[in-house]
Amino acid sequence: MHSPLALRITGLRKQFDGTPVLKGVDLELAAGEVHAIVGQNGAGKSTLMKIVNGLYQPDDGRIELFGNVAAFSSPRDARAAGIAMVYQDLSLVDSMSVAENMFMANWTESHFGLLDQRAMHQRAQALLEKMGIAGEISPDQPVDSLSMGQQQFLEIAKAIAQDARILILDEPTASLSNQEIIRLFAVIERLKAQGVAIIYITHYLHDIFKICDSVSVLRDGRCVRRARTDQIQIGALLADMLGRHADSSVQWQRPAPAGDAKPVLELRALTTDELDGVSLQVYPGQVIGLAGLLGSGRTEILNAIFGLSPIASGEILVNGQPVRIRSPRDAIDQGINLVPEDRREQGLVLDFSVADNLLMSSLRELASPVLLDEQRGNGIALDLIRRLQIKTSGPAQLVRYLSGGNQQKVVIGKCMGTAARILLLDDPTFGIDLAAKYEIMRIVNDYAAAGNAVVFVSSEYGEIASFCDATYIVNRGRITRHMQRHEQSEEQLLAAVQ
Amino acid sequence: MDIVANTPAQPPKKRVIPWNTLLIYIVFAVIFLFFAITLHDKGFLQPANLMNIARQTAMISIMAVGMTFVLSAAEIDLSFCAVVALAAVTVALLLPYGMFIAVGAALLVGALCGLINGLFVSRVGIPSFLVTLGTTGIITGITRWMTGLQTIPIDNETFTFVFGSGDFGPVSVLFLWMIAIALLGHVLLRKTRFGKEVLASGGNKISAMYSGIRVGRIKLYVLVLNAVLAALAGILYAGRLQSARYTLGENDLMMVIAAVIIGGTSLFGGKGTVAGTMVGALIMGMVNNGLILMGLNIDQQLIFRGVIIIFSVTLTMGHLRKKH
Ligand SMILES: Nc1ncnc2c1ncn2[C@@H]1O[C@H](COP(=O)(O)OP(=O)(O)OP(=O)(O)O)[C@@H](O)[C@H]1O
Ligand SMILES: [Mg+2]
Repeated sequence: MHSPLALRITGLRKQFDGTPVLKGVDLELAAGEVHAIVGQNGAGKSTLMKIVNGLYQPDDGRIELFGNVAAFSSPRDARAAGIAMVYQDLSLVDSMSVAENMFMANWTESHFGLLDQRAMHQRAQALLEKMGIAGEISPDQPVDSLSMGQQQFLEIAKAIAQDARILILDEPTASLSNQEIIRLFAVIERLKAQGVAIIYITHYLHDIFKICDSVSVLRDGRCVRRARTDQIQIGALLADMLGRHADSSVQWQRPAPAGDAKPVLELRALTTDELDGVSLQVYPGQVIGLAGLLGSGRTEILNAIFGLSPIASGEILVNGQPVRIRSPRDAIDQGINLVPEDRREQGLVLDFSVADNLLMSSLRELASPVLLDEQRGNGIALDLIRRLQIKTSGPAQLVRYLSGGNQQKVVIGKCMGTAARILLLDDPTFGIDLAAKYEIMRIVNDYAAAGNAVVFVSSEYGEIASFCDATYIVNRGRITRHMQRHEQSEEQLLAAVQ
Repeated sequence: MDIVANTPAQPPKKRVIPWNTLLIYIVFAVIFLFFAITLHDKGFLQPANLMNIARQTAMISIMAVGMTFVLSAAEIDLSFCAVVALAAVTVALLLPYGMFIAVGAALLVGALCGLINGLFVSRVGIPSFLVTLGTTGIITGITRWMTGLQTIPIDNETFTFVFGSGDFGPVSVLFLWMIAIALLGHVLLRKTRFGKEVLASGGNKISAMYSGIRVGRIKLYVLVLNAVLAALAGILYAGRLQSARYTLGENDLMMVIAAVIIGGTSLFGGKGTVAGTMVGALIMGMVNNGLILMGLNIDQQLIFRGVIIIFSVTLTMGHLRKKH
């Protein structure tokens, strides 16, 4: 490549509390290049990028920007040097407007030191137009009225608002719908054409081949491969990530429910503010998929079952008995548990230890009768950490310091640890690497095979098609179709949800 | 779907020194040494004076134990000082009808105050800051009206012995009360489901709710608990002073909250320990005692105490600022 290097990292090291995370990473990025970074959960991808962005300081190593050595002591410094980063976990101020969020780092002020609202509005509008999303987001809209996907776009807009020359995207597609992903790719292409260098972190390896020019693989704190995407196969990438050969293709085996089995969970014409007469049945040993576009009502169905939204009419039956569920506590008492959509807001207490988070739903079982049975609790926590392969320094580590994917595993572990017989999973493998994803699917599979029931929401239709025994298609709060296992394929699901 | 075999779990890493939890003990040691040296000739280190500190700290630390639960649940209670006076006055007025009736009634009155606070916070959804700001006025008003601004003397010796004035050899009964409440509080916060649910509700109330914790109830319980402990402190004040007055407890707000914060409890919920709170309360008691021994007048004491509180909080909270 003849263009000058936008970024060159050599021998970068970083440790946290004595645990090395980066052990001498080398990385190169040319201007106008889209470069993917892949690696397992906890490999150090986010940490590496937070160093480039000035949020963390390296222990050792060298960062060069356009040929000059750079040392940033804060994201503000990095910004000034032309680096912008969209974090894995969004960092918008919910109560403020789109425009205010965009220019948080550099307000437009008029002569008297007052904010120039008009100018900000205009600049925001121009930016949204440049990204091709002015039609659906307006500068004056409050951020909490945006969907997760729209917030992701806003983050990118915020990043390029200050003419970034290097843009870092940490798992940007994790919460996007298919259409939004396509639009994101278009935005990336446009920025690339303008000479912006882009670092793209993802667990969706297929996407890399669509929009990235090159890829680096991070494993055990080192960069173990750098390749052009047209010269490497997905299998080789996976093997590099894991450090060993990966086998592919798997059949999920579960015994068919007995002919006379009663549904473990049944909804009869369930109606809430956002649902309209939803009926479905889940038999023991089954995994039922809910497929639909973002905002179609998939999450709403799970929320209604879990007692999070008031039921206007219709009923929920557990083991054939009608039950009243008015709060998550009621649901858990009925043997139902939920892995919610948003791990940081709904799933975790970030300042709790891994063990405390894992046990948060099972405190009632652990109280014996007054004092908590710490030994048993610790045993359960250790077992979950091992089974889910949560990468942590131990059960006492604060969840705040786990990598994003490992935080997600803690949420899943919390729900698996209870005596629940019905598990509701809302995009449970969000942000989880391929190997861990398989592990989690296997655990869910075994769980169902033991006679439990699972309702599974995912935006990955391939995952639903291969994993679920039957799928309900959700559209505008209604069930529009019920597909049996043999009729569901990725293509058919994609067509059906529209 | 691609398939991959197991990788072994990570081995446990070596332990790191928890500086942030140690810092409070260091602050304690520094202040202690400072007074021990400068006030050596004034008898700061005499056993009698040390027991004096314990006696003066008892009420503060009992209230601080309650406040630890409230702050851990990400709530605040400003009305407990008013409850102190109301309970003291109640017990003094009812003592003629029997000690158990009087003490029981005072604790019940405290529980009722907490219940009212708690119901407004959990059922109506008003922030506890506002609710307790309002109830402070109501409770204080009632206390003043009940006493006609008079001091009520207490002459029941069993009562004054058990609740404040008594000594077992060199050990004040107040010290025993303090230890008992601290131990109970510690076990309740660390070792029971209730304690974990308090911390979880304060750490992230949405996650707590999704985990099946009834967050509203937890908030109600902590406010009741805090008010009952404030009532107990009020009873102990009455027993030690052998009288009750509507002004009791009115200067304790700052010291109680400072003790809890210095002790490492987060103002924003989710983090707190009773052990830390006790050290925080001891620091406050020691400072009070030291400043008096130094011969400072009330104005000077107020100023110094404010300075020391800010100094201690700065030190012990420094580690928090860096990480966020
Ligand atoms: N501030 C911190 N303090 C302590 N340990 C940390 C901190 N930040 C990250 N770590 C640890 O460093 C390791 C790498 O984390 P990082 O977030 O970089 O992983 P990642 O590759 O982005 O993973 P994921 O795909 O799950 O997002 C993890 O084991 C994590 O626990
Ligand atoms: Mg990450």
